[in-house]
Amino acid sequence: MDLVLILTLQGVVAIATILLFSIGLAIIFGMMRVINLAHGEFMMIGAYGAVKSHEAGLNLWVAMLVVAPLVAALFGLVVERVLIRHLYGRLIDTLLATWGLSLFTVGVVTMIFGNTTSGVPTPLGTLRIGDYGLGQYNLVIVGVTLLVLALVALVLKRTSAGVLARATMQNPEMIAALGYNPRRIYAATFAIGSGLAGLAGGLLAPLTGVIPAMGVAFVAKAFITVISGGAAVILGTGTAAAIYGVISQSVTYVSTSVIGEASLFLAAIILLRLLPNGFAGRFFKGGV
Amino acid sequence: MPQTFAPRHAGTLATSVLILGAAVVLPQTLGLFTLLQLTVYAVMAILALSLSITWGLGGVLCFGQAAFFGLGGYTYAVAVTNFGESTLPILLAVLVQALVALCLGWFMFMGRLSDLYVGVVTLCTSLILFNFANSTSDPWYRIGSAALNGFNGMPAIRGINIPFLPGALLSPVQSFVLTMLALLAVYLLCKTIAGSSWGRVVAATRQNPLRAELMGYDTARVKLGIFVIGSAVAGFAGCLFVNWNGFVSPDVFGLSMSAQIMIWMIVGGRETFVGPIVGAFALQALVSRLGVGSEINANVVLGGLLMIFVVLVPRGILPTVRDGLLSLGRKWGPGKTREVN
Amino acid sequence: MLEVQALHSGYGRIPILNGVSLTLGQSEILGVLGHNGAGKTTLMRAIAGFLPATQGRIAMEGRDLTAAAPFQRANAGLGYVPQGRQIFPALSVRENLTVAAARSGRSVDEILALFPRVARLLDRPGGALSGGEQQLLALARCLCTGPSVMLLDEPTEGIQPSIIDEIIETLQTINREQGVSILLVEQNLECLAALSKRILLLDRGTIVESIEGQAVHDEARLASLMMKA
Repeated sequence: MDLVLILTLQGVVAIATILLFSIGLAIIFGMMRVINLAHGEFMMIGAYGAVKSHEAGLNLWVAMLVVAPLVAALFGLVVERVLIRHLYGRLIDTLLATWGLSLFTVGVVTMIFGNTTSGVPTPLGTLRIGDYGLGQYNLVIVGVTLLVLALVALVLKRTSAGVLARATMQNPEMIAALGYNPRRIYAATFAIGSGLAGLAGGLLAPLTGVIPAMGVAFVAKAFITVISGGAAVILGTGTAAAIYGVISQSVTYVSTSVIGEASLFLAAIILLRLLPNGFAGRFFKGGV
Repeated sequence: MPQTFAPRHAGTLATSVLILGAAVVLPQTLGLFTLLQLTVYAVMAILALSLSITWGLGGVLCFGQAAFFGLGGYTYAVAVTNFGESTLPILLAVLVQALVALCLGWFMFMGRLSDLYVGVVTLCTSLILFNFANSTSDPWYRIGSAALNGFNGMPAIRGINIPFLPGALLSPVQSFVLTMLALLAVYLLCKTIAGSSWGRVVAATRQNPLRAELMGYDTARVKLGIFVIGSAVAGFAGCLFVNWNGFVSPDVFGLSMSAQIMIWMIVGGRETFVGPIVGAFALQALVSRLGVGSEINANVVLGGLLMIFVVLVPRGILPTVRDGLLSLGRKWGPGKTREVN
Repeated sequence: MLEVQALHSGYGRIPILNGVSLTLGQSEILGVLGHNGAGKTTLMRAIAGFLPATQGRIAMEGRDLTAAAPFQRANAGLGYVPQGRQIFPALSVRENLTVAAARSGRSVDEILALFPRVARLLDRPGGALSGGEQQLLALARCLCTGPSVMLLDEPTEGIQPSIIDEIIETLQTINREQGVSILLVEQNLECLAALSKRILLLDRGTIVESIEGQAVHDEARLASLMMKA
């Protein structure tokens, strides 16, 4: 019984983690048709923001929940202005250019901070369930992920900014004909997506350790989750995260974490073959 | 996009003579260390050409070219360790990759996956291989007498010998000549494909799949064909790489490997076959120069170049320079105008 | 209101418009007639700002808009209802309207009073409406931005006749009660004749003829002009 409970919890944590580090990418891809392969580096920048501000004496929670997303969002604003802006409508070129950005950012951060792991202590203790234990901090991640999801859904569904965002997603030209500057909307979207990546980086920093190349571990999984999810930011990405989380967690349980990760990629290959338009194209047409 | 890869016999001849000349002359003039470096550059140029076939000519967005490169390397390593002779292992490195690409490509193209999804699937494939190869440290993972050794990689792999003479291992200089000849052969293969009538169907499929389909071509089959050829060439490059290195580790499957290949192609010019060769040589030389006593991280240079080229010079150096020269020629030269592409 | 002088535009290097000039007066409905490929949609897109003008000038109420971005033109009072309606399919009808009204501050309810058919469909997704309903919604959405000029690109194309009459009546009301000037591009002669007092004939990127007065109702002559052009 304890085992079932702990496994369920671990599954939930795995799903939440995937969602947390994919949601920013999902927003940028869903709204702008831009795939940001430097997504992992936005997380890394958030993580460094958290680590360095914590080292400078800032409260850890503030560093993770406020500084990390802010730093990454600012970085995102600059990147949108300098790089992404020239590439709207050229999906493959955005992939290539952001791949370049990824290498570039890793290189620059390595030159600044060196290729060493900076750590943040994992806050909170361990939750004991019978003979098993689970870091309480994992539950914080689940909580924050749920909060972020709820907030994104609320904004998209209920606020006029959200309606505007969804309208832009469907037809940016028409939005311009109605008097809105699509470039400003895109810049804001990109910054928000980047900020969410930074938040993920900050929150995951205590669990993964922080090195310049840490993003590589996330970008492929985020990319795959978002593409499998399709155009529906929350429903699509959520479903994909749930499926991949469960699969990789179960396989990890019966074998090793490396095989678990490989099984995630294998599942993605099969899923894409079965659903060539992602979950959104099949199940959530027009949903968010 | 203008029609590209048009056969230009004069250019092909000049490039061939240049490669051949380098293969003959350089061993006389350069030191062993430089030759060894040039050997690996040439291997990577072959790898760049393999992506030129798949992506440049065929339009198949392959984010996992490293998968075939790495598998080629591992195939050769395992086979040569078991057989103690390199002729069959080289063939296997090519054939196994063609077979793997056939299966994967069948799955992707017959399923009519969009370009982006093909990218994701090939990326996933290389990541699976990377993960898998990393998890084979247990001695249980062995094929015949070859242990895979996980992330430590397989050391001390036999090099290439003169066909069917296991005792006659190639010297480093001979390896250089062999690699250059291989580069020439692959280059000519590219040119032959692009100039053939099938090559024109491939180009048509890349430029407008729907129209090609309506003209009666089975575009899925065309893409599958070009994907298999490109992957087989990548496998060949992997085998030559292991011959040079004497060692293979899971890093050959890595993301940065796939990224590098794309960078060479884009910087050199993805619409040509010479471009990727030039890109591979130039950028590796640049990176190895940077590696020696410099504060600048190679990733900064590679990543920066990729961004700059995608935004400012999307066609790459060679086509841009060529068209610039041609238009200058039209402006200043005699009346005869030449059709650009 | 709207002044277009010697406008040249096209796609890439391919010229479509070769010097179109026209003036749209205060509260006028000006029709532009032309067969397929004459450059009607190009003209509308160039005026709306989605195609750059390679030569010429576009001005509204004396203000030069030639280099302005589409959103700036919209904010200057230039409303654009494109061909094919371009409704946001996954937004509800109400959301389609509120997104347009949020910027101008106009009351959606007031505008809906002009569109009783749309007012009954508020909670449906835009994509679930019929072509005619979508066209009405597109007109209402455009009106929500508070335009002084509306550019209409073939508003009756592919729409059932009963709704065409409704569209014509609605446009007349908008023009009469709100004083909105309308530049209307059409192939439907009846619709053009019913709405405009002046019709320009567009052919191969230039205005070749201006028809005024009673002549606009002579559909046989319009048709033969269009054929000849």
